[in-house]
Amino acid sequence: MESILKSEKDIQLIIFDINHVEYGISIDHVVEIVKLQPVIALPQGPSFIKGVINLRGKVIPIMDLRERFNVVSIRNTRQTGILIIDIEGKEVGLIVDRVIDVRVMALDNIKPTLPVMDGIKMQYVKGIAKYNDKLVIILNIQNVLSSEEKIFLQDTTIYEKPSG
Amino acid sequence: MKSHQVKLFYFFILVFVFTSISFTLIYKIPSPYLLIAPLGGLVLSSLFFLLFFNSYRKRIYRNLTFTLKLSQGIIDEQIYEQAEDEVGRLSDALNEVAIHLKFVINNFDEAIQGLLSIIEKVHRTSETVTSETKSQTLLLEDILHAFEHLDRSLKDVAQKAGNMADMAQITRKDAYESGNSIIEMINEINEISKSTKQIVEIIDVINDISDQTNLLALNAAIEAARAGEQGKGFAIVAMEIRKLAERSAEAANQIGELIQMSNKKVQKGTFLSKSAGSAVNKIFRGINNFADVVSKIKSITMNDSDKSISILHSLERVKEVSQNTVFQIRQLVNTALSLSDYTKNLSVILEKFNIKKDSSSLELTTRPDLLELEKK
Repeated sequence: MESILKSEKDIQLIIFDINHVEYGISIDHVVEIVKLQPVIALPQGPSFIKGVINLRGKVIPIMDLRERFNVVSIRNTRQTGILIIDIEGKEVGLIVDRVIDVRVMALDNIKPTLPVMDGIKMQYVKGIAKYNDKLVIILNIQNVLSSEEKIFLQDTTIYEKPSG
Repeated sequence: MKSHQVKLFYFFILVFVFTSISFTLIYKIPSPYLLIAPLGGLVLSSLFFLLFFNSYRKRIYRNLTFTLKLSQGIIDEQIYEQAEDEVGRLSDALNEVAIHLKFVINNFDEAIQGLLSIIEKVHRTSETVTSETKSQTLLLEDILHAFEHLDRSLKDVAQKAGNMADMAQITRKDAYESGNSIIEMINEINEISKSTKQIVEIIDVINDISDQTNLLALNAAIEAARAGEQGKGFAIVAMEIRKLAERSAEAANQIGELIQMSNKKVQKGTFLSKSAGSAVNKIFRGINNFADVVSKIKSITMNDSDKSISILHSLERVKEVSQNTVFQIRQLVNTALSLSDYTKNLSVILEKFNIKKDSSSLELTTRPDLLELEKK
């Protein structure tokens, strides 16, 4: 039985697909992967929050990563999934087109990105890795939310008491 | 000379004779004178008598001559007599007879002329009618032949229509059976389609299971990562499970593709079968109509054949009638010939009467048409 991480310089990534582009995030931030389920919209919620889902009794705020990455035509399929990630101790669900794989990658393989990338703010991107002649954009998922949004998520108790 | 003058004449002779005898007896006149006087009176009276008698005789003779002429047929003449005595009345009566006879004969002649012209007309008309009737008979024969031909054709058509109707019945049965087969085929294809749907549902279930397995494996990998060194083995198991899930998903997808292909073919088959069904249905209806039409043709032609047979009988009857007509016209011509003979005899009789008439009117024997009539 071989080890998953061959060296200290290896990293385990969850690879997912948005609009036919593969993205990777470190498995350390990922709590769980669930299938897309009905998102309950909040009437008075902030605009970056699409709504909430009830995950085994926990109310998880959901944001659509496709919207954040300015995908024009958003379509839900059988493979559309929600990545539950941990952002500074707060669980947030991110809707992605498809969760592809769990991959082990060498940190050396991750190269710094070009200055401009279409539709994605540069602060989200940690680097670009090559995998089987395909490019994978490695995201710094902690930066996907702005500091205001993080503060909002940390401070508000809306998710514990949706009616208040 | 009138009759009372004759009587007076006789009376005068008697008085003269009695006076002579009385004078002789009373005046004792010597007998020679006495004899001479009555004798002279007698001679005188005889002379007078002879004169009168002669004139009477001549007049009677004229009447006799006239009567003889009448008897010979000369009726154009008249006898002229001024005297109103018996002879004059006889002449008047004979004149009357002559006039009446002339009138009668003239009328009779005219009647014969009329009769002859009528006979001629009858003859000509008979000739025309005969020739017309003969050509009519010929035409009738043509028509008869045409109708016989038509009747044969109609019977032929009826028979062929009957054969066609039988064939149409067989084809109809075949088309009906084909239609049933196609319906059965469509039902079978529908069954296949149902099975395909069930397979697709099952594939969906498999896909769902593999998705969930994949998700579970991913989550297991995440949990293993959380566990750090202790989770390494578990992570590998999770990866293998994920690979299995992927393979089953691939297999399910392949089945799904195959099923989709077969489903397309089934749909095409259904479509084709339905087209074939409707085509067979159309054929069936077409054959039904065809069979109806053919049976109508059959009944119509049979009916027409019956009609044509009755027409044939009628035409035969008409032919008989026209042949009979020709025969009757021959009889009529014979009758006209007899009539012509009688009329000819009459005109021969009339020839005895020498009256003024058209030179041609009574030349019965020289008439060419009547000669012709005789020949027939």
